[in-house]
Amino acid sequence: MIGRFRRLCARHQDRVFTFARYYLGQREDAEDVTQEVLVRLWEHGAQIPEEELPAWLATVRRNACLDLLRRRRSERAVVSSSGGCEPLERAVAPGPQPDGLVQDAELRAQLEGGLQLLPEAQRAVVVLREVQGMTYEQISQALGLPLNTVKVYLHRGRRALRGYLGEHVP
Amino acid sequence: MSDEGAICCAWAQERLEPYLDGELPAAEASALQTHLHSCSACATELQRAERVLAGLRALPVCACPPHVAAAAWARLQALGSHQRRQRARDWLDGWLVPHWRVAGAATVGLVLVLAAGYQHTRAAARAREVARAQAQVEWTLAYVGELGRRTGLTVREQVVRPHVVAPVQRAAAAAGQRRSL
Repeated sequence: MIGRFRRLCARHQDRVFTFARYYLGQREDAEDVTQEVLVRLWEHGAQIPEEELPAWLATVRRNACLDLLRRRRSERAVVSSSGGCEPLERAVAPGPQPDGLVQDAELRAQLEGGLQLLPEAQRAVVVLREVQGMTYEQISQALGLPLNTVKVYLHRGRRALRGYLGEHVP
Repeated sequence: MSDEGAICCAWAQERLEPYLDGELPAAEASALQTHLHSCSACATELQRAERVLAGLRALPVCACPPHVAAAAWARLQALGSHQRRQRARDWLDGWLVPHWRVAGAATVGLVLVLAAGYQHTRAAARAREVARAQAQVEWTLAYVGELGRRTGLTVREQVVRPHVVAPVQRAAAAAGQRRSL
């Protein structure tokens, strides 16, 4: 049985963790969410038709992220906008690097930080679409949003990122 | 910038994202391209939008640490034992407690049935022993009778009188003589 569980984890854990990592911005939170999603996947995943599994999994991981955010808000009074965002502190590579790589690393850090500033629905759509390559239909099904709303959120999210990054994007 | 130019830039920048995705209607895409050719600010903004889009799509897949799956498995194991205990408690709370009269009566009935069965078993055992002993006596008497018939001897005259009765009579007579002395 544990072998089957390990195969299930190997198939899905990176994708779940990636979404949680970019959605939440904190590695430890992403690990907690991933653990929660793996438990739910083991308990209920067998009942989900194979073709519906990606959307179902997207729903579960996004809801798990939201649950964690609610718990965090009740635990913390104030979230620092400068010190609380781990990617801004860790994503920039140390030491001298070629200019292009430095720019890419800085851009990545800025994007990760900018994602945390988006409204949650836009953030979820941007990560699912641009980072994880899900289709509009899958995102619509996963988040329970009309198709046009998904497109609107995506475009607004990317436009907001462009605005947040400002002069940081060369 | 004139109002007409400002409106055009605002209109254009709202459509940069769907334009990048190829979702703009042909007429609007053509108008946007015409505007971009003449507006350096919007052209720069388009480049920025392209850079953001490319950056998002280049964000790497994050490898999940191995301990996460191990922790999930441990939690499932704990949940499994907890659920078994909870199901037992739910059964007690959901059925046994509300129906305690029924359960109690069923328990008492079961005890009575077991006790009756035990008594029946003991009585049956005694009856079997008596029947066995009776059968042995009857067989013995039949054997002795058959033996006497075949040999011409009678048990009373050739066996009981000389070997049982006579010794008892002699012992009694000896005892009487000793008392008279």
